[in-house]
Amino acid sequence: MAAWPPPVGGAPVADAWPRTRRPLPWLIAGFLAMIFLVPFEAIHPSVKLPVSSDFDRFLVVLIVATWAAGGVLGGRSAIVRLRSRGWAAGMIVFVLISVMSISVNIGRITNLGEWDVAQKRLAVLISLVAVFAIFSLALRVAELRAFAALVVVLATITAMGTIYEQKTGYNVFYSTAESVFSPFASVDPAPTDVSPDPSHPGRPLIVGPTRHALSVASILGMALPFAVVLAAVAPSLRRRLLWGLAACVIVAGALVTQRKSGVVVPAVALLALFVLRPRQLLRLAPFGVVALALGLVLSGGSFSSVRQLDNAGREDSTIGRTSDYPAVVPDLLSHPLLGRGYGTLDAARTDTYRIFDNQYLGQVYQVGGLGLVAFLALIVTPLFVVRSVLRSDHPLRGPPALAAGAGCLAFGVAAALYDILSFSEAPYLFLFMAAVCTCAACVEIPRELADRGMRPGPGPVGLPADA
Amino acid sequence: MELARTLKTLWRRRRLAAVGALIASLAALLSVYQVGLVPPSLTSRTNVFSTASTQILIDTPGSAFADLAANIDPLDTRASVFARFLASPAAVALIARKAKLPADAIEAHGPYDTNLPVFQQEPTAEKRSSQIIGEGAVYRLRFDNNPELPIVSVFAQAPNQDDAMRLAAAAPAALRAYIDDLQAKQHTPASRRVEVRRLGHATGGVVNKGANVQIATLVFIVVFGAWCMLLIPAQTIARGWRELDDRQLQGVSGESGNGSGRKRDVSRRHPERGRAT
Repeated sequence: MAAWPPPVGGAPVADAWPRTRRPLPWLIAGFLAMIFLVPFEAIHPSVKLPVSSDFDRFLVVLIVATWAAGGVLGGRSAIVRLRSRGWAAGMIVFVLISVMSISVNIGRITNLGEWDVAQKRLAVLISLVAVFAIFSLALRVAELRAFAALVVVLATITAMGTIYEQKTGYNVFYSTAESVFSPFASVDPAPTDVSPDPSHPGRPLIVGPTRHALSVASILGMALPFAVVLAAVAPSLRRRLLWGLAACVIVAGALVTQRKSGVVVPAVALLALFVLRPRQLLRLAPFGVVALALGLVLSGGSFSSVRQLDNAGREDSTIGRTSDYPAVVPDLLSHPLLGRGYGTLDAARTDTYRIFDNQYLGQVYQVGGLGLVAFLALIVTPLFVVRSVLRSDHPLRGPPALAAGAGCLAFGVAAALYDILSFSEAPYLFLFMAAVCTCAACVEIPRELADRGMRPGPGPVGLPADA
Repeated sequence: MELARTLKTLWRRRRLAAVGALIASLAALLSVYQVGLVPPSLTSRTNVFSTASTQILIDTPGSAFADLAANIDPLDTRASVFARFLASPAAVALIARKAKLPADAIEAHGPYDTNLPVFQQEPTAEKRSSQIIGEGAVYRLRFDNNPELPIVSVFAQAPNQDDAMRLAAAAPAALRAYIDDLQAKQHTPASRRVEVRRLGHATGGVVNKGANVQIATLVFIVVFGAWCMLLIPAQTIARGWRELDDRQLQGVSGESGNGSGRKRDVSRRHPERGRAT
């Protein structure tokens, strides 16, 4: 086998999003815009699909169809991308165990009337797999930086809308969606509640474009590393300030949700960045101090609001969380390996099932110990795949890889704070970040060399020698 | 490209893939049918269920609802108590007798107070333990009651529509028999007796008609998918094994050839660390 040729000299920039006519990157950009700007879980189109007719499924179907059409009609790409071994292993194993958990428990699932819920959730899982696979296959190294900038811009808009929602009680995302989609879909009213009934325990509900404050806090926390990394690698002071300002707005947007996740998820994402690239990011420390002050001003002193978490609704929340642990024991002991079946936890049936404020606990309940391990593997796989480029100075690979890796880690932490898979936004964003990790670590070689059987030589997994 | 490579690998091992498809078909068949050997038989599993429902009105002999002066609050309380009683083992035994079904195959639960905070409605470990025990029952009853109405709703589930209707109809009959018996024993005057009325006949139908096909398809995909995934690593292992043998043979020839006594470990000098899928 011929040796891997010397560096590709950076990935080819031609035909890279946004300077491309390839439809898939544009669809990916549209998908990201949907995650950050459209309350898609509240939109119910008039047209029905076989299993689930939520708004996002239509876009997933369009992406799959476009990818399939490209595979059939498109020519051979001039570049061959070799992804790291096992890039999809976590996802495949998790799906397999999920399906097995349903197959093994099928008698009980049908007996308890859980089959409909389970098959819908399975369909959603398969659509998530499709999104991840297609994003991983379609993204190019030269596009990662542009997509990172897109994520920051979208997250900043989301954060600004969320801050406005907190100040005025007006949800601009839901209102706009109702105006745009009303001819062919019904849109649920915004669940925003900025001044809840004082006689009823609870916190204000600031949801942004999502169904729940936790969900918007998570996506903003996951997007924060992109803004920080772009600020860190910005070539000029003006750009550095711009990206830094975007980071401030994103932090403020997460804080105004007045959820613990709004503090924890961004904090973990930032911590991950500093642990991975301490020297590069310490340069931003002075900006960080200014950003913190600015963030507090923008969020209207939300630290006081965060402190209020200790009072309002604390009792219910804490009792609910702590009682989850003993309550899961009977199910865990009766179905230790494969759980009760993926997707069978129907939150609407509160007399039978619990709403776990911890996705890992929910996974043990539904897919057992094996499923939990697979779920952890799903989260860790992108980090494992991208480990070789996390600290890379390669301008096209290193920064997006670092930001996406920190975002994946933030997702892993957010999963411990609430039932994250019950809301689509954060899982979709995680899969995009996992795809960014996969792409950043892949090796791109010209087709003619690949056809001559040339393979990468010694070096870190899937990494060109210059990275 | 990876998909094409995988399909090509499977095509190369098409005989083994066909064996996998056969095994997957068998597993799919077994997931929806029970196979008997002596005598040979194929019985459908109970993956498809029917439900039926009815309502019970707790009333007075002269019907309190036809008299505007009558106070119906005591009836609300009784309905709430009767709904709880119906889920008890004693009531289940009575219902089973009326429906001519085995009592140990019936699971009854409810009513649930939906006005409580969610964390108080959610089942505790003790409650879950008893729920888990009853999950295998093929006949299921659920009783609901609005505390402000003297009505008990009955929801029945059974493997077929006739059984579901019979089970739903048996609940009011069993409750009426129990109350009548109690009132007769304590000589309750006729004017002060509780009247249990069924509000119309039980209605229902098949719930998940296409479940068997969906389940069989799912099982086929899982088994065949797992078989194919095992087939590809098995081939990789076999190839690695053969390559190792070849290298060892080369090593032996190298040893005899150069006389240095050191084997040439090609894999160490050229690790395939960068090989990607």
